[in-house]
Amino acid sequence: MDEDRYRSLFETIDAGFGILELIQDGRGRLTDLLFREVNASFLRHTGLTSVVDCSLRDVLPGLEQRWKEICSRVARTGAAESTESFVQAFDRWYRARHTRIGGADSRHVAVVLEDISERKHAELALRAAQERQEFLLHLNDTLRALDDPGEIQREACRMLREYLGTSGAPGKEGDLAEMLTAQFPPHHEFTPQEVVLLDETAERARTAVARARTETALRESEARLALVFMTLPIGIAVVTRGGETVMLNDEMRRFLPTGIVPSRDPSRQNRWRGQHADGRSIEPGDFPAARALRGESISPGIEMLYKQDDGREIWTLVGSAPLHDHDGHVSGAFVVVQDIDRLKRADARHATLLHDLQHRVRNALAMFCSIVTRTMQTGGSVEALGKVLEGRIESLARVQALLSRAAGVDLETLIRDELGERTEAAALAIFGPQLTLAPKAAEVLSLAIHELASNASKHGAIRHHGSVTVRWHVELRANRTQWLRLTWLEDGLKLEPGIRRRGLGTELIERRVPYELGGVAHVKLRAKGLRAELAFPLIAGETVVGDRPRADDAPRS
Amino acid sequence: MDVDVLAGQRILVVEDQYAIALDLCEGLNRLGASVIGPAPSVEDALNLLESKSPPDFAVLDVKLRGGAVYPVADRLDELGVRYLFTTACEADDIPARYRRVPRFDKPVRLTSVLDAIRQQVVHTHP
Repeated sequence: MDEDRYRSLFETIDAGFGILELIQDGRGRLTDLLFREVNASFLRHTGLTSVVDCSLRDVLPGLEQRWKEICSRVARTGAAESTESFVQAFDRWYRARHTRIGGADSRHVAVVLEDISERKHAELALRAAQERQEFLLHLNDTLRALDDPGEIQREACRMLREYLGTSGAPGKEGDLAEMLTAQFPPHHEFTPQEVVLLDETAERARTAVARARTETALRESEARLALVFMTLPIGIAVVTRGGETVMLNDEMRRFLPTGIVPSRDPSRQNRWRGQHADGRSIEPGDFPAARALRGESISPGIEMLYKQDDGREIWTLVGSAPLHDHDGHVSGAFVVVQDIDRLKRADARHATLLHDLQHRVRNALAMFCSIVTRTMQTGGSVEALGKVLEGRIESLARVQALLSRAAGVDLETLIRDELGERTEAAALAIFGPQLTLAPKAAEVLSLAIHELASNASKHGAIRHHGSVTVRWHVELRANRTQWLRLTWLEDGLKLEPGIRRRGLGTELIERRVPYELGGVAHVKLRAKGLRAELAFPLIAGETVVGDRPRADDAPRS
Repeated sequence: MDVDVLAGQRILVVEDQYAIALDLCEGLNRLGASVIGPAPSVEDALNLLESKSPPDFAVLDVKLRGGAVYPVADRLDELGVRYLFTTACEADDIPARYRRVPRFDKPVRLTSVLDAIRQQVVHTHP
């Protein structure tokens, strides 16, 4: 190829091309590099108009030292070398390939220069972005471990300062944007990258603060729930598949002191018992928790008796439900034990009261029927029979009314109720210690007093303005039994003997008292007036309620 | 009901309410039966069974002063004597082993009870 064609190629290639001459001093040391020839592209790449015979120091400032080393090595060895260099003055990156021209003693090195600024800037930007990303990830991890909002903000600032390599200032506490900005030098002009960095740092710190606040709130709410759980008056436990409690509250500790459900704890199984609907005992394997661990839900629960340490059995309601894992397998159970002892015992009391009431009402009705029949059999005018009947039924009704209000009837109240308005015409005296009669005795005695009072109204002391004295006392008899002795005494009359026949009224006193109360009763008609004496044993719960008066109690006056 | 259908029959009456016991006794007497009792308590009823030859039938009130009538019922079972209950209790309150015993709720219709007694006695002694 001839010279012209080389020249043409030299001038038209895109790469910058130049020939440098190595200038040495007398002792063979490289002192300078001079451009002897360059092509048009070289001028275009460097932005210079003329470089021939100029020193490298003037053409590409800052590269002199490096290129001197490379060029002397290339001239000596003949091996080509490449470098990538940044020229601050042009704000450009160059790639240079150095090649020796000529033989071993040559002083000329050819340089092929390429402007690689674009690629280089892209690389640098990428690396900066990667570094920023790493910083942000590290920031995230660090902040996540913290739970105090103030500490999170301070740590974010510290890390930003470390990343920037600045000294920074604390900034106004609480104002995150100001705190972060203060990490840059004063009057700093922010690049777009720095704005993004600030933005992202602030965003992460804010997220961490929000998360910390939520977690704090959650912890507080969990603490409140835990308090409710611990103090709830219902025993609650979560048990494993093996029946061991992993969580139980104070109330549950009462029932499960070993921490194992009874169905899996032979030492405590006998403390619990319950019955199936058909009356069979529930086996430990069918206790609620055991059933729940087999996948069954027992709600609201089964009533079971639990024997406490003091030996007393109390009623409980035991419920249980299975807990499932993600695969739907039973992983444990939730057990609830409620102390329903007081409720159950109140229930039983009500049932007994209701039962007693039914029994008394039915007996009272039977008694009504019998009295009606008997009264009708005594004969006499319908009008007279009606009056007698009315009096007797009223007496029966009165005592039932008294009994419906209380478990027993005060003896004096009973007597005064039966006498009612009749006593106005007679001098009446009532003496005796306070005594509460049980329903049975009250029924018998009220009708007896009624019969005596109605007889006195028709034939005796009340009709003839005499006096009536009712007195009673408690006396001690054989076998240390206490008896009530009640005397009805009419006085102040002058009766013809034998004018009165013994009727149903007398029979209801003389025969009913012994029959129903196991006592004795006598009615005797004297010339001065009628005298009746009734006595029967005082048996707690049967004829008398509560404390009996002592046998030596003096009659009240 | 014919008079004297229960002639010669000895019937034990256990009932703690005097008036009701009297109604029963009079009703039984009208039909020719002779009444043993009436007894107002378990103790009295057991004493009667001890001192006299076994009755042909018995009418028992369930809830008596001092306790339920079941010891008397058990003694009658031992003696092979049939009986019926008159009661103000609920059926549930009577133990299972007495469920087969005829039961009349109070207040009872006297004629129903007497009719039942007659049928039981006639069935036992044709």
